[in-house]
Amino acid sequence: MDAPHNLQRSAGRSLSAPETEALYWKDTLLRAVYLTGERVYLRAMILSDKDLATAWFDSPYPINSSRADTFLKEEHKNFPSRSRHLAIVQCDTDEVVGSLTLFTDGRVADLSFAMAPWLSDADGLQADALKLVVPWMRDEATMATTDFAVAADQVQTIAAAEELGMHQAVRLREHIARPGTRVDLLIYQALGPAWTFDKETVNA
Amino acid sequence: MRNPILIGTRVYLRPLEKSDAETLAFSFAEEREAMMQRWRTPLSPITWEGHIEKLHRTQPPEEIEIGVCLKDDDTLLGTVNLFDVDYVNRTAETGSWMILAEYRGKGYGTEAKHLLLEYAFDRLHLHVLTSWVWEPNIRSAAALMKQGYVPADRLQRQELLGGVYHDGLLFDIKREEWLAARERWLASQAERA
Repeated sequence: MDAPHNLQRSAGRSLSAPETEALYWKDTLLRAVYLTGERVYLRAMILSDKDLATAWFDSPYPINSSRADTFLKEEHKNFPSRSRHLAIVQCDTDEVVGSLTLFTDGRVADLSFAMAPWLSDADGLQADALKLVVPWMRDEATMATTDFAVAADQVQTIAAAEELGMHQAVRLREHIARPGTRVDLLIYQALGPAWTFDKETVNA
Repeated sequence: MRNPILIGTRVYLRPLEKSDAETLAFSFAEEREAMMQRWRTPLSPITWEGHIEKLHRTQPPEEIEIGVCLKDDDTLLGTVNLFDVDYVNRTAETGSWMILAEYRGKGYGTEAKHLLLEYAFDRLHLHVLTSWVWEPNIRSAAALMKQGYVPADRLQRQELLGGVYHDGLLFDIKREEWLAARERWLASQAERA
């Protein structure tokens, strides 16, 4: 099999065919079949993700592999309660291109995406990830609401949100800094149709 | 005054000290209203001490919580907060809590909030601030509007109480809006005097 570049890079040396195959399957077997689309899939994070932390760690500040290692161990030492982290991986290369942080109390889900800063199509890949996650939370997990914030210039993600039936709930003015300008931050919501227990019906 | 950050007419802001932990714990035990906190819970001084230590562990901090004290006798009246301070986008979420019920509704909270906004806009040079209010908390929503905040609409189904979901109302404020609101507030103070 062809060795995916990220496996060679993670190892920091040339890999033999059996080594490559072992690593390849270790990564791809974690691919969640129910969170796999045409261009990206989601999987649980693994320790070797520390070597590409700038792709998924949600901060503009430098993060080295040692700090990422601590973060991964700390965040995964218990079964997830309110927050969990998933890697967003490109299907054709198996390269990590971002992450999803999912906060939920079992009723409300809050999604936060971080995409690799060097991507030319971060918005499009994030849109694809959103299309996997919202049906998972709204329809399968039957969350009362699934919320996420997006910069007003991320047009592909916004289009995906609207295609998914989400509505724009909030506009925070000039919330995001861009080189030489600022853009609004929009919060979109997907309301779970399974929930009829809202104030309108209770008060009726 | 002890270690002041900003000084107003009747109150000043200062960093919280570990020695404030007991005062804060006693105040939580004394809370007479459920609305402000949505529901009340006793908190140990150990918890407060840990929280105060954590607040000052990293620079620049992600969360800033500052004590509001009376200028006359240094009584700790409450705290004001900046949550999720984002030094790249220059944003934060504001909050405030007057722990002593007898000082609520007398303008101390408003004065403290204007000092917090001055700190956020003129010391940290933040660009825009947000605030979140649970929908039934009409008093806080009205206070925000008076302080210059602008409604940014609502998030549905944010809090569940008594089997009923309530919305969260979001507001934001830019520096010029705060300055205009502070002018109005100062003029009303002068009229009263």
